[in-house]
Amino acid sequence: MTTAGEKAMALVDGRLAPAEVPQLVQELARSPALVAELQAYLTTAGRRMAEPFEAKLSEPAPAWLVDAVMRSRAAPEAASRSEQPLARGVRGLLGWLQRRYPVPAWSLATGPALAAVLVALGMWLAPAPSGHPSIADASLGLALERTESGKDAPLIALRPVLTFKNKTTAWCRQYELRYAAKQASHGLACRSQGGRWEVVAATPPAAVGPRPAGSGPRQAIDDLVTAMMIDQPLSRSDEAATIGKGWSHL
Amino acid sequence: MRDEIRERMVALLPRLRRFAFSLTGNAEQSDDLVQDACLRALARIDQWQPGTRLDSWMYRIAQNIWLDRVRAAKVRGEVVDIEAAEGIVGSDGRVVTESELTLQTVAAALARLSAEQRAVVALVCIEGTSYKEAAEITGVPIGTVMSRLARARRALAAVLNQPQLPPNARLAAKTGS
Repeated sequence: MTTAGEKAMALVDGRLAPAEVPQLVQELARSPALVAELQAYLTTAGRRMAEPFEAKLSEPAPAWLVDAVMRSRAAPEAASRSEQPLARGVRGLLGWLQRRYPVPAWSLATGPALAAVLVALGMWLAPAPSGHPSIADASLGLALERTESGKDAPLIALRPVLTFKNKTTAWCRQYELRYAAKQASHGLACRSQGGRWEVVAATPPAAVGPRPAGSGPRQAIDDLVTAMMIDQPLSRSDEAATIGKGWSHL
Repeated sequence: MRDEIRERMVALLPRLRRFAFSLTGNAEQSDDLVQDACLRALARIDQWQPGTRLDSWMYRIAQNIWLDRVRAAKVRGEVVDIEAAEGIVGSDGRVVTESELTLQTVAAALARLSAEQRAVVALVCIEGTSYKEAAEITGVPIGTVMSRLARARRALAAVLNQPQLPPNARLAAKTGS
């Protein structure tokens, strides 16, 4: 316990050692500022912060969550809130993803948004025999899929979002592809030794618009990034330096 | 043994959901966080020492997952949803009294804290852990927990006691009775 303020907080919480109380009382008598600080701690003392959460505590846990705990790994996809379990082909892709990038299984079993990502994976990656498509292939494929002859393709911009190293020390980037008519897709690509950026996962284009935080296909890409990266994403300055060095590893 | 652990985790779900909700402020995100924490705990169950507290270990896992997400979101430059952080002042401007701390009020006030501050407040003031337990769960020295907690609680008091009256009419926080 270092400062008088922290002792005042401990006093309010009933956690100050009795031997320290007399000296603290003397300090309170000398210091109106310390008294004000103690009064501030009273706002959040006792049960005042906890009481509003009592209702949350007595809510029964949702059945899908209980199932997820009791039957995880066996069928986490079935225990998710999605109404459609993942297709068998997608499970195969999960296996491919784990072999190609060491991603722990638990991080992939997180619900319906990830199912959308893996379906998109299927769209781009299977059944290409010679590996997986580059960014250019993916957006070219989409453009050819959807654009009428004589019209401009809808791809407007590629915006990288962050850069990190994965667990096999390859450079990877999360990115956003923006299309006309306020559509966007989100993806993750990693750089091979030979300098080719290859798509690991991508979502199909969807309307951009207000969405509760933590939902939607973007969340699945976010979760994949968190699972794949070592340490933290690169800071802006480190990223600039890495790009400047042509992505060579230090 | 694994089934017994699963049953114990299910018994912990109410507390984990409450903790996750105080961190995320959002019911859907908090249940996703709890699911991820349970799955990670089951995958790493060999790292848990039987006889030590399962709840502390799971709180630790949950807050680590959440902190990773918050940090990644910052790097992406994602805008924090500040809607939740507004509209917390009592409608008639009185100093907040004990009966007026609603879930919405507290959640909005918590949303204004840094992630690290929110974690220690959630542990000590909501989950009721000791300072020492909070230090073990967050993996920082107890002195850091104390100073982080003190700063967070002073900030919360300023927000929770803020009336809509002009500054010269502001009341001091009521003492507890």
